[in-house]
Amino acid sequence: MLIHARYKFYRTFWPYCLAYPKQTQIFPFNIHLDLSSKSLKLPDLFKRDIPVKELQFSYTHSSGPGGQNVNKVNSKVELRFHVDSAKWMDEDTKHKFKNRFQSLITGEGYFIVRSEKTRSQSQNQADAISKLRTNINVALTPEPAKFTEEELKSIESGKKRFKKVTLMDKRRRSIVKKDRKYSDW
Amino acid sequence: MFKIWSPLGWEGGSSPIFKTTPVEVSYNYGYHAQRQYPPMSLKTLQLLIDTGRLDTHHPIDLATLCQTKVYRLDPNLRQFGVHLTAEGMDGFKAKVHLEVQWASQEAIAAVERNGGSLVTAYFDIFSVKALADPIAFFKTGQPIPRRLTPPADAVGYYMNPANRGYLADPTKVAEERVLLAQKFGYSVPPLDDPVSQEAQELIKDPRQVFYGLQPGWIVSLADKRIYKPLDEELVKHYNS
Repeated sequence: MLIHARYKFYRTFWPYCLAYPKQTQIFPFNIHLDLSSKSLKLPDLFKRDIPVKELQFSYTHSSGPGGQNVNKVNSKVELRFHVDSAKWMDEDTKHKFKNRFQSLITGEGYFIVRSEKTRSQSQNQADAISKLRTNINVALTPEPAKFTEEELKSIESGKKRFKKVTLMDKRRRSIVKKDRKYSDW
Repeated sequence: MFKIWSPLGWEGGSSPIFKTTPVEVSYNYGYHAQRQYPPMSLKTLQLLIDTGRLDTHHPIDLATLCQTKVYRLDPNLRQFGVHLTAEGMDGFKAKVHLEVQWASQEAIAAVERNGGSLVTAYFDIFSVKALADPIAFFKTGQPIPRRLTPPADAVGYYMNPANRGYLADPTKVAEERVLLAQKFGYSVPPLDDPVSQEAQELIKDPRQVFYGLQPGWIVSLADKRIYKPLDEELVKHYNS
């Protein structure tokens, strides 16, 4: 109802007024979210944004067949950033990340990831960023819980007991089967 | 562009296998009701803008695209609008405010990266007939139709903020803009002031077909006048 009263243009009574009564802004939607404080509903452990301005992208030719197109078009994307001086990662995540992905980090401390998956530079850039995000998630996944010595002992003793019981059952069963046979004496 | 998807299994006129064999039943059920969206790439869009056939200062919708005569639509072949494809997304540098009927995520990203905006909107077949050739429609003397809501199988698409549907929640659309920027690695550029007079031009009501014109009006090109309904019942009908 608010929107209809405010603007002089043609507006019917649906759907914005009824469906979204709190919205005073209609398209184009100029609502900006503050990413530094909010965590978006992303399906991963590193629930924060990766600031693109602090990553360095470089574009080169992709490899493989393709003639003039592959020779001329810069579709290969290389992503790199300095891990230690990255402000968008906690100390904890940095430590885990460095331990887990030593092979992808240079001697000077730069993390490098490349992508030439598609024919398009933009999509390869998206692929490189997704690789970075998956790597961070892999580094953050907790190690699977290991059993303690006491727990292992109890598990072993339990297995032995079970085996003992099954053997006793088998022997009892075999006696029953033997008793069914005809015997002279 | 009068391309139409032929029925599945069609063999150019000879009896198809699924008809000669008694096993398959209802192979193309609903073919005559299927909606089709002939594609247009970002490459052609950039070309049209560079050659001066499209003006980026005004919003671009189905009517403007059809009037270029480069992209054509035949509503009689169940073609319901534009499907924006991502071919040429790397070289797309124009700032446009687009209204299309179907768009892929990459195309949306390419448009928003340059500071533009994109909306996916549904038009029923009578509205599409009006938009495909507005001048011919005005010559028929019919009143501008009241745009209908999407059918059941399309409502989900047009209410989804990820597709920038015209029925979606604005805050969720803003979130999706940010997520898409995260995915493709660009910073979300700010949009123009949404409350200004110019920005109001960009907004179409869900019952509206043409920019600046309301349903129920009759546009007479010969008289150079617009005839509007005065009867209460008609006004109520067209404003509902």
